[in-house]
Amino acid sequence: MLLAGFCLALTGKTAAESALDQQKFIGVQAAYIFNLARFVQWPALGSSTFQICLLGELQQKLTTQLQQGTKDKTIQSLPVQILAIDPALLSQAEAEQQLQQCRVLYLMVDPAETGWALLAQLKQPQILRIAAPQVTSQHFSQVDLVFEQGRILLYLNSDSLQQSGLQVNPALLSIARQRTKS
Amino acid sequence: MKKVSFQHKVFWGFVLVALLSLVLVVLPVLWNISNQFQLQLEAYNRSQSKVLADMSAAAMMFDQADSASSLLQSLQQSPDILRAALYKTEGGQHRLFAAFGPEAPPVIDPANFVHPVRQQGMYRLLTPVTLDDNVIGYLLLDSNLQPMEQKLTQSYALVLTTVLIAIVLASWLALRLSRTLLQPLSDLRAVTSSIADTKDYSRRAQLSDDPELAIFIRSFNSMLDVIQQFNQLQQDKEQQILELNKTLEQKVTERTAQLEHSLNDLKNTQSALVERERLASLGGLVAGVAHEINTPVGVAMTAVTHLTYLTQHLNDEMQDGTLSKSGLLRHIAELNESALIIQKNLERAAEQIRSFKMVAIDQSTEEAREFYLLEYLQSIVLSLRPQLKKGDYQVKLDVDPGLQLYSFPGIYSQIFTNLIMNSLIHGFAGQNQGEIRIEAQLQPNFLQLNYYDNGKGIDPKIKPKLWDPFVTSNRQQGGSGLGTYILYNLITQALKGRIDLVEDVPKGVHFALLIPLTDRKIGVDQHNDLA
Repeated sequence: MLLAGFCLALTGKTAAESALDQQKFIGVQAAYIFNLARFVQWPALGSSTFQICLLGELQQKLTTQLQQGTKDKTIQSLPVQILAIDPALLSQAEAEQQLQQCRVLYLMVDPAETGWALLAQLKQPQILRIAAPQVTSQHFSQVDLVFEQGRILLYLNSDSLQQSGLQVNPALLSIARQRTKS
Repeated sequence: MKKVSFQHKVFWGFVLVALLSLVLVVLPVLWNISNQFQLQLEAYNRSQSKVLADMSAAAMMFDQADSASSLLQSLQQSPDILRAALYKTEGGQHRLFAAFGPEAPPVIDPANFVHPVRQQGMYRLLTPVTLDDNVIGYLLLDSNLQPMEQKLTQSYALVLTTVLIAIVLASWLALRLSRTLLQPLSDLRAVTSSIADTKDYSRRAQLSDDPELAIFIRSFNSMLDVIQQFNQLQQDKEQQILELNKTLEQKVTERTAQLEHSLNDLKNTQSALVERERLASLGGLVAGVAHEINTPVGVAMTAVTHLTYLTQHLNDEMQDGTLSKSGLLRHIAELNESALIIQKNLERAAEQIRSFKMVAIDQSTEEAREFYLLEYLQSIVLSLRPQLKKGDYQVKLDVDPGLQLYSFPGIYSQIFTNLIMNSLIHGFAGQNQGEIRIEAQLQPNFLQLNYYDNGKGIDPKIKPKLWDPFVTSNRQQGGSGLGTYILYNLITQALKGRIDLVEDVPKGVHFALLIPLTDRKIGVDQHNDLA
């Protein structure tokens, strides 16, 4: 069980952020990404797969972890497909075309740093954008993973979430902290 | 067992109906209240557990125990919740993830926890925490039942208080209603009692405003009308009866006098008839005697005439000198013959007169004397010879010649004359021959007589009243109907005996007579000696 493995990986991991090793961190990220996708009430999807895009995935470790963890899983009764996007290797048009297929966009690098202003003009607004803990920019994400007190906390950008039109499970709201632009 | 009045019955009837209705209403209400409380509690706990479980899913999924604890802490707003605990399922084990409440949560085994548990004033519910149909943990929720039970008790108390108030109100209403409903009946009862006490049937019950009761009271008053009329009629009748009673005695006296007068007239008439019958019998006897005597007297008269002629002829011959010796002897012989004829006929007449005289005297004098029955019966038969000669009628006497009686021969004469004449007139009517047989046997203290004839017998129609007066089958021919009546009275009253019609002969009649012997009875031997 991927989720169980993820959770077991988190068990006893309430110590300092530095204590997390890279592998476990990747597992926790994978678990958070997958579970956050499950706590969203998705509209009817026109695709045959549920695509999770990892923006800035360079080492393919998270991609592999997610692919393994979601191999037999579905979201909205759709098989999960993991797509790693390296903005440095794609043209803007190619990246834009790929991004249109994404349901979950996990930002592993700050878009501002890459100059991906196109994210702001995405024609597909109903994309759950999750920012990794290392991403500092809070302009593009609706959910931020934040290290605090030795563990990962969830922050919701209410304005962004509201703009996206996505409905999240109230349970998620109950554990996430709210963040507004103001 | 003490009898309950009608008013009490009505009152208790109303109360019981109200009580029964209340019970029928309240019991479902109480059951419903209890059921609703439990259902509400279960529904509330289930919904609360479901919400908490759903809300806890994310915390459990993202391992946010503090968030889960915060979520459970919201149960502080629910004072009925005793305890709450979240168990996270990992590898088939159920690990305590977060808890709420003062006491340590128990170890659970969801496999043995299928239904909600109610125990010791506590309601325990175990709700699975799911995410995408996957059970990721369980929420244990313990609720305190005491507040619900207190509310239930309060509700019961409220309902029961309401019921008690309703019963009191129903009793009060029943009392008022029973009095109101039964007031006309009470009035009616008062009228009835008053009528029963005073017998004043002119009283009437007052009509009620209620139409049905008015009909009932009107009917009662109508009944009183009828009773009053009947009573008046009865009083009138009683008055009439009283007046009648006053005159009844006088009327009875008058009627008695009239009846006595009628009875006397009847007796006189009867006596006259009897006397006439007896005189008629005597007349017949005299006629018979005259007829019987007429022959010998006539013969004697003829002989005397002849004797006179002979004497005159003899005298003439002597005067003429033509009398010869032979003529004289012839005249003397004729004279002797005539004289003998005269003597014999006169003797016969004298004998008949003597017999008739005896019978006639006996019939007229009715004095007791000694007589021989056979001889007397022969005299009676002799006196009836003219009637017997009208046909070939024979009278046979089977009587001991020495049978002597001391009695009233005239009564015997009347009896047997009557019997023989009845046989001749009725028994032998329409036939020119018949036989009458009279038997006599002396029994100790009794003389037994049997009278037979072989006539046509007695009409069955008159047999039952044969001895009654004025009963005859020959009234058209002048029968008075007193023959058998006189006969019966002579035997039963004068001779103190009895006579019975014995139906033991195929034809004719058989009368059996039993006549007690008097003290001066003279037996057969004595008569024979005298003879």
